[in-house]
Amino acid sequence: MHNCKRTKNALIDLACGEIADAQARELMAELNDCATCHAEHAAITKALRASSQALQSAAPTEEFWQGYHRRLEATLHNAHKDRLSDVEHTPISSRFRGALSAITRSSVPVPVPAALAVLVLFSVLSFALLSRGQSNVARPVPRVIVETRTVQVPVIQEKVITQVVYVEKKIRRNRTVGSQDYANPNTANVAASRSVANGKKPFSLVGFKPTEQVNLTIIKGNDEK
Amino acid sequence: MSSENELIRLAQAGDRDAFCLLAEAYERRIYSLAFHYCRDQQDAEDLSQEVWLKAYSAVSSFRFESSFYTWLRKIAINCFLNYRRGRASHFQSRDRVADAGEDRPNDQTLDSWETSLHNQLVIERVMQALSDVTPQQRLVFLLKHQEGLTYEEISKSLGCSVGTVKKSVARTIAKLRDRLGANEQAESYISCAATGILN
Repeated sequence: MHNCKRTKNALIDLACGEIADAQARELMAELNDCATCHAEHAAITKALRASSQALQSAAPTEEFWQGYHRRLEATLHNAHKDRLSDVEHTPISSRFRGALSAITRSSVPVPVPAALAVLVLFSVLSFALLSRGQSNVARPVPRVIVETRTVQVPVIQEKVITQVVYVEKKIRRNRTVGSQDYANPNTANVAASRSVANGKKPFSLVGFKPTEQVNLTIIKGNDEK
Repeated sequence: MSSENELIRLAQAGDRDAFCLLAEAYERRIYSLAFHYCRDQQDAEDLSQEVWLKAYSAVSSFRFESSFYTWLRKIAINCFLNYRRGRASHFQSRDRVADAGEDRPNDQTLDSWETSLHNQLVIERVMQALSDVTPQQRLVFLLKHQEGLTYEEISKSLGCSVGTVKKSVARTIAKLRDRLGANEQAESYISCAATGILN
């Protein structure tokens, strides 16, 4: 749907060549259908053509250009002489400062991939150097202080097994008599001689040595026998 | 192009003659731009020579990232903007570099530029239309239609928005159409300009 107002807004862009080819073709097709817009476009184009031709035609003659170039050369010559005299009268220190500032302000165009590669390499190297430096740093060794302490450790008490032995009354009596003397070996011998005198085999622990090694003999038998 | 680059390198090394050869190649374009901008021959000459002096002192900073003329045009635009800001003080106090009055175009040579009455009429009306707009609008129009820059490039060069550039161009075209007699009479003027000036 053609809209004259919208088309008129785009006509200057069209005349200035600021519209893409496809859009320009569409716009030109619209102009062919609308006489008002077509006349507007023609007026703009003609005004622009006239102005560009007028600007071109307002150029000076060749004689002017010769004189102009001579004057320009003279101007540049004077500027060159001024520059040389400035350089001659400038002290060495300020020249050095100027050169130094020129170096600090100067830049070198580097392709982006190369700059990125250098940046990555630099960061990797600096990271590696930093991590290496950290590992080489001597860590402070803590002073060892030897201190002796007496610590009471609770020990588990040995288990005492009490065995009850039932003997006959006589023997028990004899034992109670004899047991008073068991603590003394001499009295033990006296008790033994007494039991021999009574016609019984004497009970004595003389010559008994508790063994450290216990040999167990297991006798297997049949319960039915 | 390679010879131009060689000349630029020689100029960067301090060869004044090499720079003069570069100036010879572009002096007409710079002068024309300055003339249409300030609409005065004397001011145009001063302004264009100012551009060349700045270019001469800054040629060592040219890095071959753009064409030499693009770089030169940037300097010219800056000079034009400064000219607009300090026109009164700057140009009155400035010393005239060369006293070569006999080389300047006089009325007779000016007449020789505009050979027919029709052409003169069209030129005058175009110049009047350009005088009616502001210096920035005029510069925008010249950069667009004389230098062929895009809206984007002009906006970057002048530090303004693309919308401002579009408005400036539209306003200047409106003035041109107004001065050239709008739709009815423009046809006859333009046909005169097209036939008379170009031949």
